[in-house]
Amino acid sequence: MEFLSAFNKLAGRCLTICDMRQILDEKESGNIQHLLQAWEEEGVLKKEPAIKHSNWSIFRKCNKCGAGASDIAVSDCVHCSNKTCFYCRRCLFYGRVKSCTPLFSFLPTTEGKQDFLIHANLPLTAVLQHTSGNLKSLYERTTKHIHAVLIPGSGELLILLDFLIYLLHKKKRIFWCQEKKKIAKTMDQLTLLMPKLVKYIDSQDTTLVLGTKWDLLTYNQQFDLVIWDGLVPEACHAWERSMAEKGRQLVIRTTLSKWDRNDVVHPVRLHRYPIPIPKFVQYRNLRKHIKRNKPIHPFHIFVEEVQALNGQALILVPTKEEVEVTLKWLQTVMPEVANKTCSILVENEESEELRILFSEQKFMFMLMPQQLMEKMQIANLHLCLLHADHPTFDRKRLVELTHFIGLNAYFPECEVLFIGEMNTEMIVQTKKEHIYLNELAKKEGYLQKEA
Amino acid sequence: MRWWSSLFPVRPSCWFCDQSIEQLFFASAWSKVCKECTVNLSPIHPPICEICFRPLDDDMNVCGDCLQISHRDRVQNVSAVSYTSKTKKVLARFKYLGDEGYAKYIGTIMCDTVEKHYSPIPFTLITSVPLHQNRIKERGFNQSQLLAEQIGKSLGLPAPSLLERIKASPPQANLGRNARIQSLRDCFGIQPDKMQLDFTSQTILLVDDVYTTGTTIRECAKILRHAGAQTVYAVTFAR
Repeated sequence: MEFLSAFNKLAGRCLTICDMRQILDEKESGNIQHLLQAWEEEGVLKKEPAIKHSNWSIFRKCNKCGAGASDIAVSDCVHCSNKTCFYCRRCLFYGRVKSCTPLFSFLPTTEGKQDFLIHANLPLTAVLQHTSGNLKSLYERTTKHIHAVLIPGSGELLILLDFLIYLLHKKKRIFWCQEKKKIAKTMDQLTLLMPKLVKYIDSQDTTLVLGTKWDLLTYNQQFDLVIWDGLVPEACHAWERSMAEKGRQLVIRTTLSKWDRNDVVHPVRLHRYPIPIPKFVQYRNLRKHIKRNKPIHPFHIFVEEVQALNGQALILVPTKEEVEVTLKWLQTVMPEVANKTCSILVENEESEELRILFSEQKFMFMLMPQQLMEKMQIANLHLCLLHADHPTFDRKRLVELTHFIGLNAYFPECEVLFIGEMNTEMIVQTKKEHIYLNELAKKEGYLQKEA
Repeated sequence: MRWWSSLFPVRPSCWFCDQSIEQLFFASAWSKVCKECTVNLSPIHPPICEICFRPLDDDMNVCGDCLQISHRDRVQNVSAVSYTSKTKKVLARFKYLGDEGYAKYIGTIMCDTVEKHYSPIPFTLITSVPLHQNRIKERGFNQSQLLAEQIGKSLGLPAPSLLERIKASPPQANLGRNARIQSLRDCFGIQPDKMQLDFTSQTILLVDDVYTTGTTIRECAKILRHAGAQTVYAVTFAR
């Protein structure tokens, strides 16, 4: 009995002994060596060193995370008394593994452990149903990868849930891979939308797992579908190991990809108004003007418009050094605007408080480096991006920034203004992408007729 | 990164973050750390306590804590940086996550501090604060010994492990001042195979990662003095 119950806990996993001890109960972990030996004899367990070591540095590799030679460091080891015992620096945060650490891969159980009992009653519009249907038919037809573009505010969670429930009814096992900071938000949303589904995620059963890409590394041939939600799929053995033989990957992005195909594109938001197209203003010597505290007319007009609309605006700059310079410039040139502006330099507790105050309309403007910008639940929010020609802005980032604006149904036409010294290819491509998405939505008949 | 990346070397990055910086091969240790990390690590500058290296606000030469310790028991210490949140993160990556590569960086910074503050002292031996066998097995290495070896390599001095921990004590990071002093009493001893060594003419540099109350350093120094060591000095990374 103990033999079977312990195996059920570890089936389809790829773990070190330390990881196993955390999963098993006290009695089982006390007997672990005996159990491992028995499983190995039975052929349900594969054992390999966590670091593949060699005298040739290029052949060194971490079997746990797939890191190459550049991430493998050498050390003395007290466990194996070896002077050249290698360890991986890439997956250090998820438990150190060395050449002498064994990695145990357990075979998965044959099929889903339980019948899926939840029936979907999601508020899906015809547009959302259409996209979800596209995903389902693609899943049946495609062999390996599905690439989907779901823009923010499009009801992407509803589409995904409908698709997940379809797969769970088919007894498929799914790993939903997200960034760590996004997981808590998703769980909150799921608790409101489908509390029963949260029980499936929280249970020890691995029918549906919501986790980071590092959690995915602890599985072996387990999942029929891995969803890369806003993440770039890693093409390496360590991540592919987690998928079943005919497993598939669904890659969800918010922007169009130039290199991969875009199988499913959902180009319209829930309110079905067009996405705001960014306006670009070329302003010569912008940097000099800001340094010398000279007025910048397009920015003045932008501020007046925001004030006239009684809205709020984000003023983004490429780096945190630019935040200080721009704030000084604002204080000199537009002191009345500077008084209504809060600024964030780095992500900390204070910045979180400022975000809350900004969302409570205590400030009209918020100045911050572009990398700190994230989705905000503010209705009448406008965006001004200074130095839009800065090399840190690629097309993807510019599109992402624009996607944060105009999410609210009452204010779908908020303004996005890019100011830069020259019109770069990235800015041109960003505008083109938005025009394309709006045209696609119009062609498919997704847009509201009055919009 | 693939093997062919080595043919196209990238700009070197800061030891403690990924920011790329200008580095000269023979430059000092601090030039290999970016400005932001340098500020966050907060190198210790005078005015400081002459004994324990605590930063002081007034014109006193010795801090209140050191005045309470008898002259006989005092051990002079130098430290590289203040115990800030960044220092905690660096030490956590080194000690608890086990990135042994950090020993080289931290050791080099400590070596700079030794050269700066102990330049006239003719050290003959470098040794480290020992860990209990159980802790070594759990962690996989003794962080102080790795630092001692790195400093020894830079200064051209031997860095043998002389001391051993007889009693296992709870992790010091979780204890208060009095509990630390109590828990470390009679905790250390000379390793049995090093008993026959002659310590009488030795000037020893004792290496540890963090100096909080100084109890660990004083207890280790007491053992070395009993064994006949002429003088014992200490160096720690954080104070």
